[in-house]
Amino acid sequence: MSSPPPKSDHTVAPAWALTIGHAMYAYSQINPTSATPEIIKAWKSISSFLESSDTNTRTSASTALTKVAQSFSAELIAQKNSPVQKIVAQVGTALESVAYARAIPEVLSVITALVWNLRHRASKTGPTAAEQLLIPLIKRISELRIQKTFEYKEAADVTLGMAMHVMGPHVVLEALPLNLEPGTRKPGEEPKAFLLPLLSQSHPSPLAHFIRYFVPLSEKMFDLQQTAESSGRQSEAKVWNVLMGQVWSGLVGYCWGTPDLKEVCASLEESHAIY
Amino acid sequence: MPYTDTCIQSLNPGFSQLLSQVLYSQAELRPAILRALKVIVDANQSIAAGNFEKCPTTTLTPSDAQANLGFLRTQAESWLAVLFNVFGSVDRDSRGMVGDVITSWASVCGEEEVNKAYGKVIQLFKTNLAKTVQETARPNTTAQSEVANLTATAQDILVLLLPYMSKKDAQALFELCLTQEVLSGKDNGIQKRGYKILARLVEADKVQVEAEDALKRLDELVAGLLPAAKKVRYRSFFCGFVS
Repeated sequence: MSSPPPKSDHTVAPAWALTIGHAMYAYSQINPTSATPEIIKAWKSISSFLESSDTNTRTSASTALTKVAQSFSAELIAQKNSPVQKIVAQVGTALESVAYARAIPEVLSVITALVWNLRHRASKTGPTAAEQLLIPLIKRISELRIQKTFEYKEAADVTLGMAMHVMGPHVVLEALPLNLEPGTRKPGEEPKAFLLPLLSQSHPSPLAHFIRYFVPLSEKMFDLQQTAESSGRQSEAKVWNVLMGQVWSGLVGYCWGTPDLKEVCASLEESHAIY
Repeated sequence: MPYTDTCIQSLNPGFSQLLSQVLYSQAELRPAILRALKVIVDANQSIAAGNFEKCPTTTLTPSDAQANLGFLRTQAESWLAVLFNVFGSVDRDSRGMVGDVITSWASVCGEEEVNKAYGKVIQLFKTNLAKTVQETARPNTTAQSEVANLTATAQDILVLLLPYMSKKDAQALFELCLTQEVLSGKDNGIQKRGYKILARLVEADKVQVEAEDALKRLDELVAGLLPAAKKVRYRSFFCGFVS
């Protein structure tokens, strides 16, 4: 690690970055205590290769950083002034920096890895480390995603999807309001319908959130759809219809290990006669 | 988290009712709800067994999931009733999906709950079978009748419940199907399903069969066999009784 190849070396650099990444991970598994101080060093030296003009080098650097992110132990994440905080700050800077402009997809996949590896919670009902550390980054990615000129929408959706998977929509939508209802939307608040398809994967949010947030939303969408239809705005009616479908397709995401099942699904009345 | 117990209790108490309403009334949203109803059972079963592969970020522990399953079991009877209704009302192409959900819910039931569900379906089957027999006895009944469809639907549901039935219910079902009304009736669909149920019951080792006696009774019914049911009949011979 003390003798990194020059950034201009497109042959050795990718292999070097990958080697460091894998070595760091192996070290952290064998001897977590002594590996910890090395994590931040490895991170810094590998991430400088994200600036490379060579695609292969950038991809390897991002894969290597993903490997380093796997080295985070629960203790490391929980400690005060954790190096993880520095790492998050550094990635945040990379997202803004001109030097990393062409590496946006790679930086996004590094953030995806950070979200996944910060999925731990200090207690069962406490927040994930990702929620505590990464919300500002997630907000920033959403801002970029809305920009008309932003080229890497798919990569951004992968990261936002991981945030949904790890933190759950009740956290993500708190940070990123959907702003779908035209009546209550303030100027400058962009609608984020692109978040709806991300709901249908498994996540830890309570079913109560779906009932509190999405059921009324779907009712409003239904009204808007009806209004549009009766005013002859067929294409708008269609849009509401699609969005409603996406909302209900999101219900399944709340069913993968529902923490509040009993409270929410209180008895289905026996009034349903068979046939 | 902002979701306190009081918050949860103040929520719409009829979420399950809402779901069943949407299931009945919004055909477009039906697949989404069915998927959710299936996953809610399957996921808790996986987690209870310590398998977190499909939901690694859940906060549930296996014992939480076990408790959820206990709760789902109390809901199963009413959900099965709803699902049977939906099964009967959707077109044939969508039935597979509803059937999968029925299978999941039947699998969390105890024999007691399956027995209750079975009782309802068997009643439906008997009533409609009797009507079908009356109807086909009349001349000029060429069109596929509504009651025959209902009878066949009930048989389809019985096939789904069959793996979860008690031996007692299974034996009763066997006797009910090995009759002239079912196996020698004039309706193709009912015959086929009758043979299918017999074969499944024997394959699943759910019934005690005196092979010789059963074969003799089957033999007596051969005169009423319709061509379309032949294949299933042979299958029931080879898979079940011969072995």
